[in-house]
Amino acid sequence: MKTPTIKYNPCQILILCLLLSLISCKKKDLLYQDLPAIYINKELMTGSRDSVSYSFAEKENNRLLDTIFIPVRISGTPASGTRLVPLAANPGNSTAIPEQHYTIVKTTVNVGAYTAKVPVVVRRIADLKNRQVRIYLRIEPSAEFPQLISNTKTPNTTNGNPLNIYTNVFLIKLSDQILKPDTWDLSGSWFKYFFGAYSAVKYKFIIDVTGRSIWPPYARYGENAPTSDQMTIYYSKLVTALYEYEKKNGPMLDENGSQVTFPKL
Amino acid sequence: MKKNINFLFILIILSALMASCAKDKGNYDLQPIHEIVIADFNESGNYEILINDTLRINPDMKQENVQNGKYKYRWYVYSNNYDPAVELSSEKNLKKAITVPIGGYTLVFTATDESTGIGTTKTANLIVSSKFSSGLVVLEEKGQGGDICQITFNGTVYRNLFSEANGGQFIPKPVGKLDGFYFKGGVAVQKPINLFLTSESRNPMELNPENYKLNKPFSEFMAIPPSGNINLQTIQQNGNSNAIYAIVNGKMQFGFPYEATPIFEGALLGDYELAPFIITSTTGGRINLPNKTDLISYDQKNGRFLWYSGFKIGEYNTYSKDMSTLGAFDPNNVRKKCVYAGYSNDYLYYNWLMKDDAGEMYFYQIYPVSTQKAGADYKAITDAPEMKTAKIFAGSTKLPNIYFAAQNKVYSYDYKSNMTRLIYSFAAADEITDMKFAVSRVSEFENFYMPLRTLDKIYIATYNGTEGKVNEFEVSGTGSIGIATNIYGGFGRITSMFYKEKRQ
Repeated sequence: MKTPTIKYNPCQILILCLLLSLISCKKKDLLYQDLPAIYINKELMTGSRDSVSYSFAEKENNRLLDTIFIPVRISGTPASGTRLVPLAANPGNSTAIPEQHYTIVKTTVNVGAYTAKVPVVVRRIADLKNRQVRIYLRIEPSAEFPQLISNTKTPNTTNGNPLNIYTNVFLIKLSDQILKPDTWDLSGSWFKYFFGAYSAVKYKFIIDVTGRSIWPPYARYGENAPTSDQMTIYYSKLVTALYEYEKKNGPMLDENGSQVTFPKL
Repeated sequence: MKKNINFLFILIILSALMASCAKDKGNYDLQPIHEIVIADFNESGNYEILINDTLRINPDMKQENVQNGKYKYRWYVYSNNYDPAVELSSEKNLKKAITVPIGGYTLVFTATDESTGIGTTKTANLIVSSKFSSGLVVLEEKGQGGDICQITFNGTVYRNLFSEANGGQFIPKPVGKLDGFYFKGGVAVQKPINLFLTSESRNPMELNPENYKLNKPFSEFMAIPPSGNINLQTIQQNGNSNAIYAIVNGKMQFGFPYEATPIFEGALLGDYELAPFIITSTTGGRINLPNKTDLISYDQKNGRFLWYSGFKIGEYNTYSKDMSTLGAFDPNNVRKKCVYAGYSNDYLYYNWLMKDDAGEMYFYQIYPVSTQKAGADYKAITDAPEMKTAKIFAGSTKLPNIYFAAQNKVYSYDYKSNMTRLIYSFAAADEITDMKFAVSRVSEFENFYMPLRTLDKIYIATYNGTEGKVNEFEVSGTGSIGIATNIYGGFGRITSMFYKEKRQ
């Protein structure tokens, strides 16, 4: 059987292509609108982006309160009016007592703004000497921000895959005790490079010998961060003080019974 | 129809191809560029000038076919550390007092034809130094106290520099010694030489190496200064890093600063008291040496060598006790008093002269490894009774010779042949008070990264009871010094000399 063939006139094909290309140029208005939402902007945080350990023991003795700022960012278009940031503590998980250990200051996203910072005021209460309390912050849906974002992602600039995924909650661990800095063990940390493995006994020794109680993230970033030469001097003071201690008292043992040592550099 | 369309396509493509090959017959108004030619500007050489002196350069400039051209000029310098440029002049002829900090610069001259924008740029090296950047610094003791003089390389002697720089005050007696080091990191701030006035009975002070004004106490160079008196016994830099070492009260102060100001981070740990000699080793950038030791010291409290390698403070190390491969001696068991240490004529070997309890002298040579193989050579010195009382030594890094002075005589000990010879005698009334080689402290691959290399000059200071002199000798290839090539007199008793090499 002979297969039937359709013969096209090349002129017709050319005219058809021209018509199609003209249609493709037509402007089309997007019809898209999402519900307003807001999330904790962890891109602006350094160190551990899901939690922060705050200890008044590392601050000046006369500091009785301090403020931790939580950066937030809206999703969607800016509004023509101010909108209250629905940041709140999750009472189910939090052990800190509102208005006693902390206060979340009411904050709005201004007209036309995309971002805001919510101040969380923390207070030096006597019981923090003996225990650590927790403030689990979360974004709650509100009339102005009805959409709840559970995770935020940073896309990889090369392939678009998520580089980082952040939850939309944030934990503040509050105490008046010596606490392990969150960034001690992270990659690039000068804590780990200069001081080695963490122990509470070692950290207290470090604070006593160096006279430095306030340490920035990674011991190297942020305002008043020590320089490399300063860290080297801290290291020298520590190994010298530990050498003198051991001459008089024998090995210094930490809370786990392990000998306090510093890495050989 | 199909044939027509195909023909049309081929025609279009051929037309496009042919159009790209067409000769450009544009009617352009091309004119030759009249280059500006600069003469009388020393591009290949160096311009050298003392700080605050006026730099004068009158370049000869020509531009073909241009008469009475109007030009814009610019003279400026930028430092070899790439600091911001410093404008000098916008005139054709440069006549400007140079006030930039001491150091190396690139001098730039540009001339631009204002009507056409045609310009040219010429560059040359500019070295800014001071009268006191290089030469021999002399510390003398006179009736009223100590003072500092400097003998420049052209033979000019500048006197009373310390008292003039410090409001007429003199250095208290005993005036002590001069010591210093070259700090690589200091090049970034044009201050690589750090000079100190040391004394057993006074805390050492830093001197401004360009004008000898008292700067700051040495304790401010130490992150952990010892309590009580600070006796800076010797100080030195490493050859190929920012590492710095100083023996203070018998302890080795160590620093490895990254910043431009040297700081000693603390003393190396351990039960020791060092002889006042610092040996930093090098492999010359040529070999990979397992178990290499960077710093070699002699612990005179326990009669043993110690070594250290590391970038931060730690504990001094003793040598391996594994005796399966012996060296010439056991570095852990020397039990003698060290009277001299210095670099040899081989970058991998380091010399030590020791005295036993009976006063007999011995030569030790160390190789920079932490095993027993470190003991490279050992000899009893039997033909140099004068060495037993000698206090002034100077080792050559070109020849296998250690020079030493006893009373008015200079001897040379050849450690290859283990023989000593008298090479010079001053007048009987002359006492030799110091002896220093001209040295280079700038280490590079070409010089095996040796931290200190001796040159062909040796300076010997003498004192006859009324006048001190500096006697300058050329050291020959055989180690002889002949007769003095220059003698500089009119000093008090010279207690110490410090050689500042010319900076490039």
